[in-house]
Amino acid sequence: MKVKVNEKLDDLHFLINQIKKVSKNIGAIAIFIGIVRETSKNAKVLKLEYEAHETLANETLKEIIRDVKEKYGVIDAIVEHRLGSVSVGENIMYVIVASKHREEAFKALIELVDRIKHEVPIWKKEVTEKGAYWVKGEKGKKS
Amino acid sequence: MACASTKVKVKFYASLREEIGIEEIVLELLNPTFSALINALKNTIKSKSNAIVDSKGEIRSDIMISVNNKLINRLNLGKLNFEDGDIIDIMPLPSGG
Repeated sequence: MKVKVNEKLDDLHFLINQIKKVSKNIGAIAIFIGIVRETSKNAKVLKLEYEAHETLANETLKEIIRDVKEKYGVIDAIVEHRLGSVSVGENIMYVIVASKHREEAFKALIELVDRIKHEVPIWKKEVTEKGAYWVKGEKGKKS
Repeated sequence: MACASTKVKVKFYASLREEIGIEEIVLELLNPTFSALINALKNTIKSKSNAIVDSKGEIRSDIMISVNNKLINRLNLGKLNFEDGDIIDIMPLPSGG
């Protein structure tokens, strides 16, 4: 398990190789890459700014991965999330799940991404041509 | 005899920090309870109080609170008993990803 909340993401191929080394029983790796879109609510996005409670964010990410590993029986997962200023087209987040078979990897990936968005204390400010505003969070299913 | 007070540090994050205009503040609580904390905060941030409490004066449902880096379930907020030096984080709901 690896989590990172930081100004820089690691190289994706490096992370894939890292998770492959965890077990020779890995038969599938599912990956989610969050990317900054150019438009949001009809406004042109200039950049996103991310802030986190880093200690809590790291702990919460580990807890979510532990839950999802147990629920779906996946072998391992890596989550990395950017902080600070992120430009249009840049990667925001990597969620990587390794499992024996694809089905549990897909299910675990969806739940991980959903729970990260709703439970991990990271906040996003959208800076658009029409102004800058904090994106309002929503309660997740578990909240 | 003077009553002992409990000194805690309160930190605000993201939209709350900007709305309230305070990043962190040290408060002295005569009672080390959550309701005393809320009252102290209301007295401090006055007109900005609606950023953290609802019309009934209770903590808003879209606020998360942690004490010393442990997230507190809102059902347990009333059971909190602060100690000197505690750090209380008041945060909006997450919006990452």
